[in-house]
Amino acid sequence: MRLSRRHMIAATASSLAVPNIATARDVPEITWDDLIPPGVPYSEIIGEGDIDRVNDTWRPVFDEHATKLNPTLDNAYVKLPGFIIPIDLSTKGVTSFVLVPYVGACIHTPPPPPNQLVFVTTKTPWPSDDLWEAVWVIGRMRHELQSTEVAQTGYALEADEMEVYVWQ
Amino acid sequence: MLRLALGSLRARALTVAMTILAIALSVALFLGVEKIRTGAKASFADTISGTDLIVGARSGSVQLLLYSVFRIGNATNNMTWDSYQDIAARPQVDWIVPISLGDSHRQFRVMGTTAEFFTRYKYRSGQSLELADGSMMDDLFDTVIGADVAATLGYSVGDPIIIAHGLASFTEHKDQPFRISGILEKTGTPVDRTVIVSLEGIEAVHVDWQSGAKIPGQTTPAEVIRQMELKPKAVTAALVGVQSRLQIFGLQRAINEYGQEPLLAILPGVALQELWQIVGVAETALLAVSAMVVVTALIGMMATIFSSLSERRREMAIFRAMGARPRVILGLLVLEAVVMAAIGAILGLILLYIGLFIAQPLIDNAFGLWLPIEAPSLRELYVLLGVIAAGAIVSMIPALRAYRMSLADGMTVRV
Repeated sequence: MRLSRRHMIAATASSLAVPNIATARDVPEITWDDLIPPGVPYSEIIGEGDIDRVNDTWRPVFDEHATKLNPTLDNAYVKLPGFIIPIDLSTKGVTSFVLVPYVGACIHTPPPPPNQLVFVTTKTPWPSDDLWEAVWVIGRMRHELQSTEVAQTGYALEADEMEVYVWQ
Repeated sequence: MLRLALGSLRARALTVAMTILAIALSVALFLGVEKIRTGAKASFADTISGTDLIVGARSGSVQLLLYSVFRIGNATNNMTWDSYQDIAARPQVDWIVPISLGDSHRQFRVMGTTAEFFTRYKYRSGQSLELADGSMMDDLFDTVIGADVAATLGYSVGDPIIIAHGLASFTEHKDQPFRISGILEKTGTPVDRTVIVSLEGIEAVHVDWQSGAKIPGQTTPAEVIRQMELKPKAVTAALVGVQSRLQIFGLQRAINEYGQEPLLAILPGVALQELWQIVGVAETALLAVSAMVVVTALIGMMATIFSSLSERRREMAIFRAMGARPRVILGLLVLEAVVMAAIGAILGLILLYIGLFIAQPLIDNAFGLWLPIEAPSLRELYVLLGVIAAGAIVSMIPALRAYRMSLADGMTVRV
């Protein structure tokens, strides 16, 4: 009951905000592989990294492939599945989060490279407590260009609508 | 028929009142549990905002979150000042605020930090701390206190304050009294119950201490301490903000694998969700128990209707003899039940609000939990409607019985 109400609100809100989108079904679904620009081999993205066998640590060294973004995804309206790593919480739920392709794996491999992370902000807070719940995020994807000391780019997405991912 | 139902209820006022009271209490309990549950959650979620990582000695993510932000439990260890500066120097770090815990004033904890804490610490989706009175610390022996500290102990700006060693203590740092320079606005977070001093202030009160005890006979005058270089050796935890939020994981990983010292970096949001997963089971159990209380109250109502049936056999028979259809009898009984459940539900809601008004300051004082008093949510209205509907459904059972045997049964009754 709670879920369906939330969906109804989300759906109404998104239909108001984005009148040019007829239904969520029309939005193209993309996968995490699509975030890597075509022609860039994945093995080069994750690379070997910096393995310190004495201290038993493994630090990733991302080469330039890791920050390459798929140009066709800038300003694209997409639907992407993933897991939520909450960043900002409000009383009503998560308002911004990093969408990742997997959870919990960061303990034995380095964190995903920057082009395998999407920073999502959502106008409608997502009221979930479950870290292991996969979701669909629907919204406009942008290349976030940042000129910080460690120059890094990444994907950002403003979610108009979110729904629970149903495993098939 | 409503008039008839009301009249019939009034005729059995005492039994009806008891039934309504039972329903009201159970509804109030259920809504109260729900209120505390959501209130606790909101209060926790509102306590920290805008901080990307919390760094401390390696323990557990929930533990680090609890002691650094909520002042619940204790740190397993400190992190050295060297490690702190190492992390602060990393390129991904936008800002870093140290926190030093371990001393107290009466029942309140003392926290050593830098002036940046007041600008970086955010609560309730990005709200900043505001001063209600006085100014920020600008002297070594200045302190800013939370709203609850001021209210409970009756302090005002300019009062002296003595910090004690340990979290509950008879050993006070008597020779170095602090002065209250400012009092913060009420936030509804653990900051309300915190005495904030500078990191150097924490060092200053421990100048004459060694190996956890005061060196007897030795007191360094405040003027001498002011001249000393008060570099902290260690801090308890640090709040970190990163340049870009996509770098959080990289920085977290680097801190967790920091070679010189076992450190732990956590994302506050993730740790909070882990906490909910632990607390969630107890929460569900509590909610289930209070739901069972509502069910019990409704079954109680069914029992009273059943027992009233035997008293009312004659009445029912007369209704039937006067031409009322069995359907009318059924309708009458269900209507009576619905009226009882509705009055019970509304009374329960009123009880809840009275309870909230009385308990709100008490709960805030005892647990630091601020339960907002606001109009009933849609969810609560659904609960009330659910109770009324359930009342109608359970009353169907005695009503159907009356429906079947009202006429013959009432006519043949022997007194």
